[in-house]
Amino acid sequence: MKLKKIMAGVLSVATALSFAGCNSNDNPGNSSNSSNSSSSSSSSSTSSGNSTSDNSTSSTTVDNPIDNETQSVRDNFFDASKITDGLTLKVLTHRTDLCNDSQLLQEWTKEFEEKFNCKVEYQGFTKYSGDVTTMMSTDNYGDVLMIPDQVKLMDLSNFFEPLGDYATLNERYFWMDQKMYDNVVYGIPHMGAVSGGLCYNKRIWSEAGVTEIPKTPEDFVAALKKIKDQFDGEVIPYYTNFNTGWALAQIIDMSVAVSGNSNIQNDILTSKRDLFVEGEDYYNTMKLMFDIFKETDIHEEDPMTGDWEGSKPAINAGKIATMIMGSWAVSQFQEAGDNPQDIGYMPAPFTKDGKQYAQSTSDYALGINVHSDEAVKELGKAYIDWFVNDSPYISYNKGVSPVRGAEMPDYLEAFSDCEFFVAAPAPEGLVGVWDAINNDSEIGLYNDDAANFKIRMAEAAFKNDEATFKAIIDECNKKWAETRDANEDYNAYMATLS
Amino acid sequence: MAENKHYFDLKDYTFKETPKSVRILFQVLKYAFLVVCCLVVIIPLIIVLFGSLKTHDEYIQSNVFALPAVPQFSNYVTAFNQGNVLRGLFNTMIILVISCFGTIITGTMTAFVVQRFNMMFTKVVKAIFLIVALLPSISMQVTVFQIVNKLGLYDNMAAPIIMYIGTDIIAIQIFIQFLDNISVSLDESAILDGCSYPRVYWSIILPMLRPAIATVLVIKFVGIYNDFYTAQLYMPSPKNAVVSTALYTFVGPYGAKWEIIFAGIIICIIPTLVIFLALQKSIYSNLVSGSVKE
Amino acid sequence: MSANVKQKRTLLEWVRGYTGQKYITTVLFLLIPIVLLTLFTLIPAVNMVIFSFQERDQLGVNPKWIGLDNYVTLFTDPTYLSTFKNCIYYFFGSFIQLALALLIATILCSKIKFGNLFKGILFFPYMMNGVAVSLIFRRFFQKGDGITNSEGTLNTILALFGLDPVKWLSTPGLVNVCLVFASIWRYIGFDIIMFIGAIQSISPDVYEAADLDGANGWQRFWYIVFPSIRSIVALQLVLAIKGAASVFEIPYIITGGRNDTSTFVIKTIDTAFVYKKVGLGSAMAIVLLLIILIITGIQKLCFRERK
Repeated sequence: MKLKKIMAGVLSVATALSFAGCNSNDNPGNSSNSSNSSSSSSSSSTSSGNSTSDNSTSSTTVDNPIDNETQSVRDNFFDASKITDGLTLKVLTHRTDLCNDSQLLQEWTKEFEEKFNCKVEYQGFTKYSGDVTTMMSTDNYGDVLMIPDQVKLMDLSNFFEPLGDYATLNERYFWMDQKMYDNVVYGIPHMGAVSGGLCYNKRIWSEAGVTEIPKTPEDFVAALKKIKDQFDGEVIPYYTNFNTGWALAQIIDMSVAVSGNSNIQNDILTSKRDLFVEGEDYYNTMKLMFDIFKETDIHEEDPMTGDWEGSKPAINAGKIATMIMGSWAVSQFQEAGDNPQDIGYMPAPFTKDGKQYAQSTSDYALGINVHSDEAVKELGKAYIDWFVNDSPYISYNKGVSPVRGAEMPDYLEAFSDCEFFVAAPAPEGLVGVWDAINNDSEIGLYNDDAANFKIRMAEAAFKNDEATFKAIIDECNKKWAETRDANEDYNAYMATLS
Repeated sequence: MAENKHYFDLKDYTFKETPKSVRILFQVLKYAFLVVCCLVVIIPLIIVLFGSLKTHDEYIQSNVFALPAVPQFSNYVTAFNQGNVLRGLFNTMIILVISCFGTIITGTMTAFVVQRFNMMFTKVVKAIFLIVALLPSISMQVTVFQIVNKLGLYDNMAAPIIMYIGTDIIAIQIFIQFLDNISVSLDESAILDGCSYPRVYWSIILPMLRPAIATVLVIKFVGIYNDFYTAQLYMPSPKNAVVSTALYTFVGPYGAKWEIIFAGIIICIIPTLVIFLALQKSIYSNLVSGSVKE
Repeated sequence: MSANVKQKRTLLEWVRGYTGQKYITTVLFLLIPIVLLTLFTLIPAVNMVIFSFQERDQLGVNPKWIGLDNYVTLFTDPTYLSTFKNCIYYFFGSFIQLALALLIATILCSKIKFGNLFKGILFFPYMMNGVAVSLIFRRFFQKGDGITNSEGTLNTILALFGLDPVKWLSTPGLVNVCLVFASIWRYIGFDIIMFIGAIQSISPDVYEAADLDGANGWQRFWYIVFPSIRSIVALQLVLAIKGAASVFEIPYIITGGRNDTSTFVIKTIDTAFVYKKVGLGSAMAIVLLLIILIITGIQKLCFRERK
């Protein structure tokens, strides 16, 4: 009988939870943040790497010249004459909170529905990428949807309608290579964020006497200790959120961000370097994690029973001082209590040549089901166009707009000296290779499976077991090198270089 | 019979004179043991009940056993309204009724044929059912989904209903076990009276299986009522929400609040509790009767 | 004509006769169950076997035949099979669960006041949603820090007895015991009900006779109850062992397999769905199936010998 129960359990959770990490605490921004960086072999817009940095300081208005210059991109994006009246558009979304609980999505969409005389139906999925990937083994997966990260770039055309060519769309939008294959774009990121920073409570930090934002890992740990000394027993200086699993992936985001190198993945691949080299970015950030986690009095006492939901009001109220998170978390922390003004976002405590770096990354991309009716597809394009350009979604979520030159969210003031960059696309022939190695070796930089190296490292850190930490580093490097050297695409590409 | 004989042998050696004090001690121990077991079960649930009546701050700060200062029924209102629970209850009812009915008909018919007819074919079928019960079904999900879709049942309440009926091997096993305990002599006498097999099934076997049916009903009810995955995967539309998917929207990535989840858990439990209490008596009394009626 | 009639008659007779009836009833009664079984279990199972010889991802776009490679990987790379070690906790846990269930069932079947109340309470956790249970137990085992959350249920109880709080889920070794506890808490009610059902299916005459003879509780259990329900105990035991081999839900939801609580099935799911190696995951599922079949085989053998 027990077997049956367990089978039912397996059924009930297998695909549903498998991507989700820990139970209720599915992370909204993470899967997509990681998708970006993990697949940033296919990343974005080389030319305009720093263009966001200007805007970040000068929060200007939406009405800027770039917007007008690229208006033609919008005009040619869809053909309104093909859209018939009375259509129904099914949209799949991961934001169950906005479509089930608050119904805000439906409210925002009224404007669009009126304009095109159509009806938009939302379906929210708590375990989005898992459930939708399973649905995609049929033709029946909504009309407009967030493209799950499980879909390989080369398979995009089997599932999604082409939205335009890269060169054209790239004029107006960031991250156009995220869901691109053969210069055809299949998805437009519905929002972006800044990754590789830390959320912190400004009041606590300044009351503890830390006035300057730390620029090195040592300063950072020292600052945490200072907070501990000041508020012993009242404030947790650093909250690990270890039991969510996904929170550790934020550290990988930080690795990419602090490199300041939009080509970091390609560089590591082509130079045949190990993944974790002492003194280099991926190693440095993991070591920072180890150094924080091993100090049992600067993070929460029992990381296994941590509580992501509980941590939000706590950082808002100043009971938690710091958490590593993408900027997507800022709005959630601000909304979680009465002190939104206390929540700040700071760049990672690493300096390279006197400069701090941050990466702007994309969230899920919106794509159109290739099996939908023609008129519905056109309506879908209109919807995507409306969503990224006109809907209040991005500003409500305090996200970074995919539209070049749009206003940046206001919480980035600490980044005024920080240089932003967007990951560069992988050269042809190396597209998808990083992801393939990452996956086939089962290292899973962004995954949170039970045997994941980050989780084992953290567990070693909690026991202050540096030998195990080193052993895991070596094991990962070995697996990485073996898998890389067995990768056919990689070898083919390297052959062309020499 | 052998068992009986064993027992009758036993009676000559039984210690008839167990001292009364020992008996009383055993009685006390018995109750103490049961009470402790029940406390272990109840305490975590009490925590849920208390938690569901607290405010958010209270939930985070107060002792788990502390009674809520002012019971907050607003958590229940929130859980009920936003979670689409009413529609969930309605849909769950429909699915429950149809699939329970289906399982009982197909399950008893299968058990009857497989247990009573000693043919090669039925033996093979019985073996298949037993082996299939062992399959770890994790990896089968993708293919199961494709089949459901090909049948045109995707996002349709018929999909879970058919799956609940079609994959309940445990129910069949329970019926078979129960039939093992029902003497064949009844069937035989009915057949001597000229009854056909379907008639034997309908008039003799089915009524006798009543206690087993009650048991299966409870198991089935629990399984379906609490099943989150099938509903979530096969009928994602809000209009097809069942209780568990409706409640699960609270455990979503944003703004999940434990006191509201706890309220949701309680709401989810109440119908279970009511039906369980109603069915409980019939299960327990029927389990014994009907097994040996010669 | 007459031959026809005769044949018809024979056919009719055959149908009316009990052999014919048997066949027709068999076909009619089994038609729907077998169709459903084929659709939702057999076909997916066959596919699972096929997948285990392929390299394929979740969407199955371009599956590649790779022969036994998946199985070779499984048996050569220790990261896969080593995950069975945590099943030992559940294996011992299932013995405790069965023994406890049997004890409780026996007590409940004796003359006892509030029997139904006890039965109902003990059975109740089985009726609860798995996610709900996992949430409840995360609260139950929580080590509070006094800052973001209060002390969990178990530590609060310890405090009542003046004991220090324990980091239940962060202590290696202890965490698995906690999970086994949660598992027993959730599933024991069902075992109890099954045992009660089996015990009560023993003729009431036997009990009456035993009572007249003044058999005490233990004798009554050992000489009357146990022999009569031996087969169902054996069945439950085998199911429990198999359950231990394929344990999944409780550790997956409460700890996510972290802190060394992972199991083979969690590894299977991670392989198939996190690392998208559906082929390798299917091979793992097949290995689990084989293990379970072997356990069943051993059980069948032992059981036969005892008889």
